[in-house]
Amino acid sequence: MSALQTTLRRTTAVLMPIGYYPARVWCSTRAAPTDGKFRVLDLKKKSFVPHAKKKYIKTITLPPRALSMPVDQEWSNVWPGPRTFHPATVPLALRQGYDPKRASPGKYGNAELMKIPNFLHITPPAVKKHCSALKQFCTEWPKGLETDEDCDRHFPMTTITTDYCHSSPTIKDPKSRIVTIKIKLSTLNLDKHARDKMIRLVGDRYDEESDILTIVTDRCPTRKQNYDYGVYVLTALYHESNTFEEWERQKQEADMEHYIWENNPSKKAYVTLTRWPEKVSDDDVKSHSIDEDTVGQKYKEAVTELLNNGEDTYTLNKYREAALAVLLPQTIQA
Amino acid sequence: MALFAKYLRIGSTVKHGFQAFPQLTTAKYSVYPPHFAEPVYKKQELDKLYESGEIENYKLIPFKAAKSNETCSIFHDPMVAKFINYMLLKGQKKLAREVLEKTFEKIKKLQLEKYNRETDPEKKASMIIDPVVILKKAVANSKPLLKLTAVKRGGSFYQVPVPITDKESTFYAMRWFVQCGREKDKSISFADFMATELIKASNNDGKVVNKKLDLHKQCEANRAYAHYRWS
Amino acid sequence: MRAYRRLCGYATAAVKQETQYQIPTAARTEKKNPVDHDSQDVSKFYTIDPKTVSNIFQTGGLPKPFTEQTNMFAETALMIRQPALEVINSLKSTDFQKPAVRYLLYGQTGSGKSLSLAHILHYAYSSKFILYHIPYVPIWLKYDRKEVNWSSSKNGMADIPLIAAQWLKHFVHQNGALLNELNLTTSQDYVWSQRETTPQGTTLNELVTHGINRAKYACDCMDILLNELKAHCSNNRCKMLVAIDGFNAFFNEKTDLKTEDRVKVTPQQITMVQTGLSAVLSDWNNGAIIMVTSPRAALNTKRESHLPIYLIGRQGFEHIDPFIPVMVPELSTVEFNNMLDYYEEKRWLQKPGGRKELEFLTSKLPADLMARCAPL
Repeated sequence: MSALQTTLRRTTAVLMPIGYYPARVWCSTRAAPTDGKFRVLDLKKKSFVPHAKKKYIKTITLPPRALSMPVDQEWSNVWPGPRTFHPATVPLALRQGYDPKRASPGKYGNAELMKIPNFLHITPPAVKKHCSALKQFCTEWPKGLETDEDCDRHFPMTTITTDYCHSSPTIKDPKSRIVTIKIKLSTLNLDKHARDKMIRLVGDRYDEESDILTIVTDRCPTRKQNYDYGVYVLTALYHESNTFEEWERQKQEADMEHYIWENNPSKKAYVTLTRWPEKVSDDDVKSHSIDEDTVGQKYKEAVTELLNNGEDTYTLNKYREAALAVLLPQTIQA
Repeated sequence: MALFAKYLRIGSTVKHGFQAFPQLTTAKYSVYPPHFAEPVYKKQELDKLYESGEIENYKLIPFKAAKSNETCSIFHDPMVAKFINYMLLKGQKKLAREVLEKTFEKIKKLQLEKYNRETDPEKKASMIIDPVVILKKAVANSKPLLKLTAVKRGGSFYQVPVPITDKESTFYAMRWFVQCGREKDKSISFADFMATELIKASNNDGKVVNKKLDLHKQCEANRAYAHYRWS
Repeated sequence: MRAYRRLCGYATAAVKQETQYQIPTAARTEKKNPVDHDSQDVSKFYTIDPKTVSNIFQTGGLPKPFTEQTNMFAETALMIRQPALEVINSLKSTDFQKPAVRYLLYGQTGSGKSLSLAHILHYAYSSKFILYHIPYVPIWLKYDRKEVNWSSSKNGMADIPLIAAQWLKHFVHQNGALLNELNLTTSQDYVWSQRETTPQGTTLNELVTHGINRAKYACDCMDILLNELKAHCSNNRCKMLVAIDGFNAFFNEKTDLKTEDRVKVTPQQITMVQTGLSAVLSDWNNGAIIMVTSPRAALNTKRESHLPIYLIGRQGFEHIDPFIPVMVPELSTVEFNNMLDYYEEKRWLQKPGGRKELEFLTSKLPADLMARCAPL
């Protein structure tokens, strides 16, 4: 077949000008085999000429590049910038996704691997290169801030703010006004009363285990305003917990955060027991001291530990020993 | 579809009755192919296999998984497990097991009372208190030797006595116990009823044994039709 | 192969034919009086006379599954265990001139607290103590009874007359004979109403009978009885043992009881509960107080821990402080084996062997063991 015929054969579709519906106009050369004879109109399709099968031209592809990558190559040259995952370039045997019947699908033709963000452009050697390039523009790390403890000591307050990116008409996000201020209470040097008052004032915002007070402010429209407000709150709390109000004198035993044996019925019970059968009044209880009384001191310790630290086998056993010493001293001697 | 279901139910519950379309009764298909072997879950049996050397035959055969109620505990008995399965309704295995445990407790109570009252040392020694032994004895005493099947001859169905396998016979015995339990008076608990019934059956007495004897009588009465079996 | 089999605990050689299994006998002690029990008797069983059992426990004190078991075995056998022995030894050596010592038995459900209390009660009964025994507090507070009246003598408190009368019957059953012997009398007049008075000098038995007959005054009667007994004990005329099972029910947040005007009452509003709480105060001598806390006596929602202070709360702790907490643990290996030997001896446990399995499944709690051996 001539080259002209092949090209003509390929142009099968020709669009009509606008106004007519697009129709396929067949080339006249496509209809029948050309062997010079006059083409007779064949309506009944007696002479059936099958279409020649479209030859599938296989494109020759090279093997994936990842198979012939040397081990000591520069990876940052292979993957210099952020790029969608490309299986033939990444020399890793990765599997991602879920198939209920089979193992996770491999990397070729895996949309999941392409969807997720990859950080192949920020491998440690690449980061090192970036850092060494940036170093000439950087100042030195301040002296005196080598360890984390030094940083905490000089900068006890942490401010946390978030910025948001938008690709919509507005680049502003209302959530960016939120400011979180974190500070350890141990840095504030509060005395016992001030610390207790501070913890009661802030409530849930204080975490006992890490000793961090967290103040989250979002009531003002801008970030600066929220930050100033947060700092103001912290200042107010500090001064407020350091002052002692008159109404604080009304604090009762039920409000106490710790158990103090001296103020509790436990002492009265002990005094009543030791002075039995005399009657004991509240003044007697207050004035009774246990400085010389080892049994009493042990008992006081045991009860305080039991009620402050919670009940478990250790504290219960300690209480038991102390109670035996108080109630049944003869068994101890025996 | 509903019609078929009706016939199926008839076919499966009525023993001496009409098996209208026997080919429609539900057959059980195993998840396992036929060459899988049953699991050996008792330590003693496993020891025996090792000693006799038979274990070599089993080493290369795949085994079925053991069922969750088949344990290697010494308190497990396959017949007891089977009985619990027969008592089972709506898949409430826990309830069935608890009821049977209560039954065993009651059997022990009743037998212990008798044992403590008994003075003759011979009778005392021969008295059975173990509820599992009583269950086994009761089932053994109520196993029928023949059953009646309907055989069609000349337009009508005749009840023909026919021998049954040991397995089927045990099945009938156990099922009769459960059926009598379901027909009991509502004021008595199942455990109470079953305890008394099992004790009576182990002494060749009670409803279930009578059921068996009735069946035997009927078989005896119908022995003229016995040759219908071979048409 | 052999090493592997030995490792897994399988037989390495042919197993010999086993000889006839010998049914074991439990280790018992002949001492019927708890006064004689000592540390050598720990883990052994001792039987209580049927007569003594009916004297002490007929109207309550032994758990129901245990009483059923005693009917089956035709004997009441208690195991002597360390916690009960400890309390009994303390009772033997206490100085009765000092105020009453408080003991608190605690432990997991089913660890044997009620039966330890029963053992101590038997000791007290044989040692001529007056038993002020509340069998199980939730019986008072748990069920919605029809007769809960507002008390006429105490403002804002509720009465449960029939239950109080029942308790008085229990008290008289346990202590009637002893009271007659000691001949204790009331120290002052008690006016019930215009026509009814109990004059000074009536015996306590008569006072209690009056309370039983006139259920309306039964709760007040209980209170008066307690005060009288405390006074007598303080005057060295008698000894008393206060034993309360399910003590933590006094400190529950609510009860199931409602008065006729459909007002729900809390435990603290009930006169009998207040009587019980005043019984455990240490303002008298010549006696001892034994309390048992159990998770089962607490509300359904508050049963996470079996430790005593969780169950009685801060209020309860302050009420009974100082006290001696006594833990009732699970059975030790010796006790566990002995218990199973006892069950086998009594033909209750029909299948020997499998002890390791039972140990694992019940974690050696005696009540669980009893329940688990029932169908075996």
